[in-house]
Amino acid sequence: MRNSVLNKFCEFEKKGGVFPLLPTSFKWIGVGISISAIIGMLIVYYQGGELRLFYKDLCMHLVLIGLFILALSRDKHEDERTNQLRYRAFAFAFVLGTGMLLILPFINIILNSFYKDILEWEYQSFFFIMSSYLFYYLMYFNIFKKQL
Amino acid sequence: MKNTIHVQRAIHKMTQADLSEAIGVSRQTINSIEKNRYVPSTVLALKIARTFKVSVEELFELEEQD
Repeated sequence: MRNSVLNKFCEFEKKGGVFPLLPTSFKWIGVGISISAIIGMLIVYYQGGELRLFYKDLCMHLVLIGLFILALSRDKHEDERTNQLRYRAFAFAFVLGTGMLLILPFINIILNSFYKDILEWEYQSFFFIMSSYLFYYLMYFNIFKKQL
Repeated sequence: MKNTIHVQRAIHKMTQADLSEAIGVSRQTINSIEKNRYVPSTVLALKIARTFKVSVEELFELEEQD
């Protein structure tokens, strides 16, 4: 059992450790879902209603799903270089995202001591954490692709 | 690490697009390798060498700081 898992991992590494990514067309599906969800959030914000909170949470979740699909979609010209840039972007997003999440509470405390009750950053919310990681990953991947 | 891919391309009258098509990578990857921004894997280096019918050592050379 252990050997078969190791062998599979070795085979995966021999092929360059390429992620089983979604087809390129999914990139537009991801963008479409995210944009639709953002429009939905704006509509919910202005329309109001009894189920406002439910729809807001639903739309926020759909934004994350859209970004996740976008992040896991194959590039138009996917090769070993884009694969390496993908890994590098994952690493940068992890370090920057985690660093920011660890530092933000202290910044929040400092700012709140000056401007009491003005700033209420939802730095612990699921949406904030997930969107930070996904946004940083997409940002770094696109920067690396253009510059490296 | 420096390389002589652009020289070999000129000898074989190949564009970056031709080479990228021959070895199955994007043109941007060839451009990055030529400009020393990306070091290819052993497999890719061997594919490039095979395309130009030269050895890998003729294509890639270590520099002092490597």
